[in-house]
Amino acid sequence: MDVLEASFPGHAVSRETSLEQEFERRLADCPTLAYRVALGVLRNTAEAEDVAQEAMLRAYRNFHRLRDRECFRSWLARMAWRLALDRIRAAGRRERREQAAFLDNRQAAGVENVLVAREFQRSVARALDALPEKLRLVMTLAAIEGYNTGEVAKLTRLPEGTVKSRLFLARKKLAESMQWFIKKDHNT
Amino acid sequence: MVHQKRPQHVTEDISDLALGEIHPKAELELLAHVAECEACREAYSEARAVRALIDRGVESLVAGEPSPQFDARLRASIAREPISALGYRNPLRLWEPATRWPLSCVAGVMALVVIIIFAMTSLTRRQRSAPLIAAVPAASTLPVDSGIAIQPSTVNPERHRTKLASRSSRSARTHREPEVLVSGEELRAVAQLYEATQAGRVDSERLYTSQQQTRQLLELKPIEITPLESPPVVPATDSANGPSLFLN
Repeated sequence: MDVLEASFPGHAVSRETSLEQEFERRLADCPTLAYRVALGVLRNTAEAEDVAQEAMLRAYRNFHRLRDRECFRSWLARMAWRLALDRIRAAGRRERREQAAFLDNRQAAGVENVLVAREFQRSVARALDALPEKLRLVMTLAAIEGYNTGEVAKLTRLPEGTVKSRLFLARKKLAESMQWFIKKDHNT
Repeated sequence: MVHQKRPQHVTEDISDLALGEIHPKAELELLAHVAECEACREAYSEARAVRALIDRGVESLVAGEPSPQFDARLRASIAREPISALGYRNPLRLWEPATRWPLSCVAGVMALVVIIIFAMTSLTRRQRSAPLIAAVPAASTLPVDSGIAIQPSTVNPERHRTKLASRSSRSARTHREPEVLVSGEELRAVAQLYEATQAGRVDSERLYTSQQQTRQLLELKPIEITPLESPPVVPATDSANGPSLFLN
């Protein structure tokens, strides 16, 4: 029983279901992709869920228009990315996002020092936000995909060499931006 | 081999190597050097640590799973969708945000069309019920030879005639009976005659009969043409010079 079958008990399943089943299958391949992409931009779980839901609904509405179904993951990731950016631009939620990052971090910190972890995560978030969008997208997707450049190349539909080069530039800029923290961390 | 003081370019290359971007040939050379040089090995391991720290930091920003309610909410949202992935529209759910605007536009246009039709119908009805005989300014409607002075106009006569023709054709379309345009004096005379007839001061039967007689008197007859008789021509004679040159 899939999501669509549960949603349309009467008429949806009785219709041609191949397309809907395919949508369901594609969605099952990347259940958290949209959420994690949105989280990478918004850093707020509730907002990331909203954006992920919106992205998946849009994907559902327009799935019949998608010619190359193999591009579903990149299509969904890009949709979630754009929606998350739109949300940030619309409301200027940077302060709220930083507060949320602290709360999320406090839950996930475990044995690490909460204050240091919070400071570190804030500095990473700030440095990531300062990156140009194309570098930020590659870096976020690489983090989601476990730094597999081939997968990132598929998601962004860029040559793998370009992805590697952008990833390198992103890391370099992040390292430069976080220099003060890294030095302090080494000293301690 | 040990660098006492690491040159800048070697440090940069090591950093680039750790962050993942270097030419393959240079990478092999640098790795060989790192294996031999303790200072460069230390720099390389530092750079690798920085990379790991950055990667871990970014990962922590995107790590996490959506809440357990997320799936249920997604299902509910899909169930509320009027359009399925196949582009199917549920007719019972037409008034949804996705279809609200087009439907509103169609309803608005239809309302506008109904209002225009109603306005045109009522206007036509009003025109039909208007008096067929009306007093109009003599200058604009009466022909030139009617004996009434016509005001000089700046309107181009050709254009004016075309306009009048189009107006009359339009009025012919809207009115089934012909429109009669009379001057104010004529209208007054007609009104007086009507009033007198109604009051019994004029015997309409007699008037009608006299009109008929007048018509009969004015009946046209063919004109008879009778040839004219020419007087006899007398030949002119000149006794002194003999007979005239002009002979009959």
